[in-house]
Amino acid sequence: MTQLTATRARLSRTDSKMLVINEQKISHMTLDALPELIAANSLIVVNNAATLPACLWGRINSISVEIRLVANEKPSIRNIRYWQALIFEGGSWRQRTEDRQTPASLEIGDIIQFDQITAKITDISASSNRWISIAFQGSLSEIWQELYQSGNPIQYSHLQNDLHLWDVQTIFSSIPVAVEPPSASYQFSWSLINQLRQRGADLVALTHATSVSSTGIASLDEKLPFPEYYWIDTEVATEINSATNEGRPILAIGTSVTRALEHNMTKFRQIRSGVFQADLRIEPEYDRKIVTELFTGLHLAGESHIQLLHNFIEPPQLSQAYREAEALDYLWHEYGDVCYIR
Amino acid sequence: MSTNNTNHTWEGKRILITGGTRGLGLHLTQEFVDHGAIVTIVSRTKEDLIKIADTSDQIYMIEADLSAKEDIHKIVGQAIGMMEGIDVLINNASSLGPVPLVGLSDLTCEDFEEVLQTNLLGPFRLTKAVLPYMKFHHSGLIVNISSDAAVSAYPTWGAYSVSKSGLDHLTSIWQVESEPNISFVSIDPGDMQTKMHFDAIPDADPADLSLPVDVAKAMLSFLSVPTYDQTRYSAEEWRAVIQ
Repeated sequence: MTQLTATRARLSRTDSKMLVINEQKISHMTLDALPELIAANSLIVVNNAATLPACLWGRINSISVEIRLVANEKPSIRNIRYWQALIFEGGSWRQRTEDRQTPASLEIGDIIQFDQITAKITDISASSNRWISIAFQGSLSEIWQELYQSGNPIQYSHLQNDLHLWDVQTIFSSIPVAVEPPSASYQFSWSLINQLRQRGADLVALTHATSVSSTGIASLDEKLPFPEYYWIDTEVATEINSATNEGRPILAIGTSVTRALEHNMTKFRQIRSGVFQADLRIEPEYDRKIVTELFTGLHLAGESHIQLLHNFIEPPQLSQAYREAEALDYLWHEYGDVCYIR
Repeated sequence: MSTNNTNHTWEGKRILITGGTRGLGLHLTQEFVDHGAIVTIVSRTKEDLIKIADTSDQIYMIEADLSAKEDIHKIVGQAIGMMEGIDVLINNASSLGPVPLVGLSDLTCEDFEEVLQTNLLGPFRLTKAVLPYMKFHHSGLIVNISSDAAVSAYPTWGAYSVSKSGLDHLTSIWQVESEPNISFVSIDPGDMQTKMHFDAIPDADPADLSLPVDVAKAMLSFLSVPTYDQTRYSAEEWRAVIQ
């Protein structure tokens, strides 16, 4: 059997297949059954980050380079001047990231020329030339304009067509800080959210600046997920703490929400509002503190997400669930079908 | 019934105005800035934007075409990013279509579509893109600038009239589908001394027309009222509210 891949943008499909893993039981439904499955007093936590056009083409002297923004170096929404980034020479997203070329000779101080502005390379990783830090030159207004005029969404070779900004926003997209979409919410609709609320669930959002899912360099990919900033409003922190104290189920929509909540709880022992950097890796043996249920996509073997999933369910059970999903033609990858782990 | 639970003070409010470089949009921008708001303006013409943005560090500019679907997230992403949020969206930009205006029998299908893209689909798409932010912040105001042509059938105003009529109804439907702490209101500003008005009626008598700066000042007062009892206000109706 092989895993089928969603190769096109596909959003708000509440008839998506839903793999439900409930303690020792595996079942197969569609997403629109979710309101019947959740506990009536659930608190659902989503990521309301909007996705930036984080892929920019520029030139260093005569060399054409692609810059993929990885992480804002400042814990700021507005200040988008300083970034950790990946750099590729020529090529396109249609190639596997592992097959992309890295510029042979880069130096700190090199200037990348974009359409209207430039950026200076301020650091180059000792482990790979592909991993750099950059500082955009010009006013913040000019940087925002350049990003949205010239940038495109980051995308990978399993897709067939160019992605547009509409394709990488979820129904929750509000604050433009993510460089890749929090795709676990791709298949949600507001109609489904209303049904979940009618069932008795509450919905709150944090903002998590989701970073890249692949660099193409094995030694860098081992470090995924990279540290990511997240923001929690005061009212949201209060609501989550109340729900936790009352013993209500906390359903995290996506691995980024899980990581933010667990990082915050580990650091402060209750959810605290503010902006923080999640540098936590959730592995099988991690002692989970707040998230009781997870809603996510279907992930490939070897992804860091699988490690996080193994914190919720034993590897043999996940393997069995995935084998059944393969047999039932579930679609893998970010635009694919969904998985609810209780 | 539309309810706006916030008695607006404009200090620090973050406002996105389409077409903020001339006419009513320009004067609304200046009024909001004078009252302490931060304003992002949108236009296709960079030179016009720079002229306005250079007058205040409370004004941000976005060069984009709101009639193009692919520019919508470009507008909303930049506006929310630069202002770190959005409290008010004012769908002000409008297109008459080619002038001199012609009757429906002579109107090309493409010209009709272009007017709907700017006056109806653009506001729909922008609203759709800003609403998630407002939903999670349990607050927001969306203002659609309408016209008396939305309710009166004037010869040769067909595409514009239909688009504004649609915009009024769009406003009402958004409101009934939305939570009450987000307000939608459609406002006919009345006839003004604007380029658009003279494009449509070249021999209009300026003495019969309001100055956009006066309308903008009055409209700010109207937008500051705590509640709206309806989703569409004619020029007479909203002015009566602030008497």
